[in-house]
Amino acid sequence: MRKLLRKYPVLGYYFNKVFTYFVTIFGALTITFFMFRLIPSNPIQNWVMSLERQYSVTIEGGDAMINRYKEQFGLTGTLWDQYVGYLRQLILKGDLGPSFIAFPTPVQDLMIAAIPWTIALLSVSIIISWSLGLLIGSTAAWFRDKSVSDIITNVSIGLSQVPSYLIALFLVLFLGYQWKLLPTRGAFDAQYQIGWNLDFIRSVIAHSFLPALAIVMVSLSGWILSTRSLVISNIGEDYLIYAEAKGLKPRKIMIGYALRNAMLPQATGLALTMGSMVSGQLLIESMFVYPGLGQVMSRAIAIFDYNTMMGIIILSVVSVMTASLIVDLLLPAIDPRIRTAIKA
Amino acid sequence: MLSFLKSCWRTSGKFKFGVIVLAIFVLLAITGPLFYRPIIGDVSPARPGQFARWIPPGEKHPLGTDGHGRDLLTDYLAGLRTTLFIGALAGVVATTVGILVGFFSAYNGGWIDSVLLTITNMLIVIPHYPILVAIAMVTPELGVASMALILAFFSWAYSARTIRAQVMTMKQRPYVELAKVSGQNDVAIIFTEILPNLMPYLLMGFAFSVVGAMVAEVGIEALGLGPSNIITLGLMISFANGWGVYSMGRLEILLIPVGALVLIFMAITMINRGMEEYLNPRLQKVTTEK
Repeated sequence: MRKLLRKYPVLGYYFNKVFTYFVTIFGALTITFFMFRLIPSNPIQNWVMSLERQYSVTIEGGDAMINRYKEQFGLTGTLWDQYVGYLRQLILKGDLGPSFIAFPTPVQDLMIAAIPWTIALLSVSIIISWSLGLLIGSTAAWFRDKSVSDIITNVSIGLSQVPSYLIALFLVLFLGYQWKLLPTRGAFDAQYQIGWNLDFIRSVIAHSFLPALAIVMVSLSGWILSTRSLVISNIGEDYLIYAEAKGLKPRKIMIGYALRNAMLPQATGLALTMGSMVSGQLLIESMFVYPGLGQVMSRAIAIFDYNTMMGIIILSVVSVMTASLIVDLLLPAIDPRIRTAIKA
Repeated sequence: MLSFLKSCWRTSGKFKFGVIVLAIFVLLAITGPLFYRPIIGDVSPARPGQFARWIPPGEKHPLGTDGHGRDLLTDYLAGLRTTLFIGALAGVVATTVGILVGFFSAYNGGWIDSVLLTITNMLIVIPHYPILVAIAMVTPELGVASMALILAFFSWAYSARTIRAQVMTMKQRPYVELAKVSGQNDVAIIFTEILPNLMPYLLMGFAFSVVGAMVAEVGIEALGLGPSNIITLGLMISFANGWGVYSMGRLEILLIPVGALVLIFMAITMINRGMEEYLNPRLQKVTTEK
């Protein structure tokens, strides 16, 4: 084993990353589980208890029914038993338990129905803002002495920390209500048949426009700023001066040299952002009544349906961690500097 | 520390802009009661039914009254006060815990460091928003301080992680090595060598936590999921949406709190960016150019 490690030091790095991956997911799951169970008010328990009061005296077999509900929601036994039961159910059967917002539909079924909407909305807005950010950011870096570049940078800095739901409020008011340009609720018009027909697709695009715009406006500024500072920090480097001395065209230098060196960190950033897609914009979705995971989450929160809340949180933790694991595992293959660092 | 802030003020227009805007809001928040006490007298600003509903703006009520029979100017000033206070308190708590954990972790190194880093990462990776809302919902009579503490509970992990990284690099600086060789103990080294040099980064981390806490707080309140017994700017947004101010033609009721929040977030970000650019001039200009 030790010999193998000495020969391929990257194996140790891989092992370390995979180990941390599982420990972190497991820990986050455990923290969330106990946090929810320790919050004093628990509507499901209250509901079961009210059933208990109602039926135990009046209906024969009421006890059996209540016990069945308790068992379904995993409320039997001590806190520790409940925890072990939850884990067993999750790991062995991939079952997240029944939801309360749409009882008895299992949580995973609710999530599977909502995921495509979230992924469609978020992945498109993330990719749009990423590519635009790269383009505008590197241009702003290249023309750093022009005042346009200063304006772009300052506006981006100003917008970068403004939460997207505040931007969304403005958009809804002006584009949605005032000028009535775009729909502000739901994901499509109910009058159209769901499927691959032109009316439906057009309706879906129109409905996703405002939420997507709100997300793009805020995340775009972040990408502009990071691209700009990455490219600017490359501009002073010797190899760029050399490229200039060779007589290469400025545009070629910018795309082939300066931007190319900014690509690795930006591609990493894109992967990580894709990973946080699930939990990134819960508020935007519930503001626009968009039928994605955010919508399921806000319905679940409203009645404290913790099976559903746990399910979405676990999915979000797993996707964030998986994205960063993939990045960590791919980096030594892509970036020679990391390989050297591991060997040292 | 003071000289650092002075240089930022002198060299960075962003810093200056941010400080001025933020100072105006902080001043408004502090002096708020001077403006609204004469209007509402000695009752809590949150108490509904103090006046008739929807009195139009006039002499007695400069901005009119709201749908709960409260003076609107009072709503905004009191809301600004609590929103800024919650942000600042959460920021202070999160940064303090972050400093303690970050220093302890980085200075000890070894397995203590690995364990603390893993726990920190666990807290960072859990989406905070649903849990915050859940806690806010089951405790309807949440006070200002407990709200701030809950927000801080989730944001200390970020500052701990960044502070740890900063201490790690600072540990290897020559002046720290020198202090060690000359026989100073660890506590003295932390307080005389590392902390003063870390101050600008701590300040930036603090501003970051304040923004984070305020974004989370407004996010919860704006959807009407937070406590309604304390007025915040987020709650005003939620009220404005609920009253349907748009169809009433009173759009400013919604635009005032949204605009104020956007300006505050921008100001804090500008301050942070100004400090960052001063510390790392490469963000602004290319160093090798004249």
